[in-house]
Amino acid sequence: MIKQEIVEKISKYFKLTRFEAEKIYDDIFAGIIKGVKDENIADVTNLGEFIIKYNNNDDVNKKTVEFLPTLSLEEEINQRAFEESRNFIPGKMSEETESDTGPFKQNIISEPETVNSEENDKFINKTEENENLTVEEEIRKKREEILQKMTKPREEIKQPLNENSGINIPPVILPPVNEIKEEIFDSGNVISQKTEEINQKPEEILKPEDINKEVSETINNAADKNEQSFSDLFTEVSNKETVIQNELNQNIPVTPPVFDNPVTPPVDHVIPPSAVELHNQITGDHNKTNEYQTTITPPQTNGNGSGEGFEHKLQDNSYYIWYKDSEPNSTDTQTMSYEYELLYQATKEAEYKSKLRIYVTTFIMFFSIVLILLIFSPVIYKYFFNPAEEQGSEEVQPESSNTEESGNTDQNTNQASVNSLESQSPVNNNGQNNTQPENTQPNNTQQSENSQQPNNTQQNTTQQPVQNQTEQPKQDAPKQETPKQETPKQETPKQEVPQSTGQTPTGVTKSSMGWIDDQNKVIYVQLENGKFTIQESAWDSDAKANKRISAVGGLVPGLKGTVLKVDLGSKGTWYRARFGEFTTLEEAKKKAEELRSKEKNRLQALLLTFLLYT
Amino acid sequence: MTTIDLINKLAVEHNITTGRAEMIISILVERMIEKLKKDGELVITNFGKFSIKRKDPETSSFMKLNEPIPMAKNHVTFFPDRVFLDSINSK
Repeated sequence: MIKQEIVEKISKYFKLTRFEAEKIYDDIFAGIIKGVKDENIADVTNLGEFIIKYNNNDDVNKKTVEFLPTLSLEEEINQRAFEESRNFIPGKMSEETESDTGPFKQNIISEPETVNSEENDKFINKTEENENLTVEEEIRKKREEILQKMTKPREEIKQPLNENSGINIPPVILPPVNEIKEEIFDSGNVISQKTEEINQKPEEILKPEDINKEVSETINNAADKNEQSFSDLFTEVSNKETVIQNELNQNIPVTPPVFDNPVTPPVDHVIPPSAVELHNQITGDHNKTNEYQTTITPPQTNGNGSGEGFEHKLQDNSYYIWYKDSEPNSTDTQTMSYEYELLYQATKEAEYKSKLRIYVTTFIMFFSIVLILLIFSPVIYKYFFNPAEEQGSEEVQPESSNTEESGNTDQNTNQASVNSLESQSPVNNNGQNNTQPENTQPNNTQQSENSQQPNNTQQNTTQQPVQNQTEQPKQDAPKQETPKQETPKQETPKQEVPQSTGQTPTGVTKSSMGWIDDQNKVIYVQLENGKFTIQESAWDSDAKANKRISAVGGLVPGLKGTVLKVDLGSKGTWYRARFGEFTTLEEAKKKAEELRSKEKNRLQALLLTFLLYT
Repeated sequence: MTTIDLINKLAVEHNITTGRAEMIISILVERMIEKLKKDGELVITNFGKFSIKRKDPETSSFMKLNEPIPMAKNHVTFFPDRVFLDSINSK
């Protein structure tokens, strides 16, 4: 069954007789059998492999054949099975599709002879047929129309033989590649029909034998043109080669092969202008516009492999090397190497510059910060370590030490200091004259005792009232217990305070150490002679204090400074820098303001000079 | 032996181009496959019989899936003809 179908097809497609087709068919399978027998394997594309398998059990047929189907075949079969389970195909439709005479074939056979009359006849036939069509026929028609649309882009080639002879042979259609087989088959059918028609017309000018010859020639030509496969082309090329070889063997002078593109020396701009611009932008060299656009003329001599004579120095002292056995027109190697070098240099420079910038900026920043800190260190020291507070801490210590000596508790000492402050402040004293008459009395009684103590030998007069204050708590308690107090002796401190202080200026507060000026960060201390001095700072060494005095003396001419050594017990010895002697607090304050303002101006000037220098 | 050898042999014996021979073999193979798909078996005299053998659906070996997964697979088997076997076994 299959044999008949295939034989028919072969005979129709290739215009072979049935006998020939059958012989081809038999030879194919005989060839497969022979291949299996000789080589134990036969590989047929798209079908599978036939391999010999040895069977030990059967002595007669030791060798059997095993068939290994290809993956494509297995996939097709499995896909078919899968689709069968899913798709519902009506029986009639499937029969139609599976019929050997497909719709495409029918369509071409029904084509009229001429192209112009073809469309008219089609249209007439359609209109006539549509009236008496069943449902199945309508579906078939639609299918045909769709197939026609799909195969519309065709090129019609009219053979010159047909034009000259005047025979109406249907045009040979060049179908798409996937439909080549069907087209050949159909064209063969049409041509065979036409040959029959020609044979039936003996009254034509040409003889039927000649016509048959011409037709067969045209068929062969058309078939050869259409069926020209890769193998045919290969054979043609090989034939040409053999012809050339034969010519060469006949001592024909050998001519060098002429190429379409002759070898030309690469006289090109090696570096593109954009790359040059980029390089100049990076390096900052705008003058070098065309410096790198060098032209290279390679040598005409061949390379000897060592590279000598193939080095070409460019204008910028960079050079490229011809590699061994390389053709002299390989411009790519030149451009690549030189461009790479150029880009490498550019990127290296850019990287170096950016890195250098970062390093320099960081160094400058760090150095400037350090310098600023060093310059402003005295100011920072003064702001963070208030000299007034420092002095205050100095002054509190002797009070506590004195109280410890006297044997009282800390609470009593603090209370005593507060009381002493209240008693010594002129404002408070004025208001508390009537209220604290008892507190003032023991102070007078103990002044004689305090005068005998070693602390009183010091020049500092301010310690005397402090020491007196320390003695107060001792006597506050007995004072409360014993109401015996002498009123006339209470007036003695009252008279001293207004004489010494006078009116306190604004911004100055009275404390145990003296009069604290928060604005100027100084303390005004009253001396023994009743005058006021400015206690500007206190230092832990005599040298520092003297240095400070000299510095301030340079700022404010005429302001004399003195150093006072004070032993604060556990806190150590301190050296107080004091400046000038003033009759009133206001004068002292003005001088202190002048001192601070000048100091401030000097610091500002220093800062400005530093900034300008940097 | 491969298809190219067969094509060359066919072209030499019948004095046709290799393209034609290739076309003939491809047509033959295609028709064979179509017939096999359609009928399920294909008998070629003096050569053998191709048939499609349906294999039972396999179950998945993946243990996490409790349900069996049907994996039906059709295999093409070939039974050589007596002539074929005799020609092979003959010395």
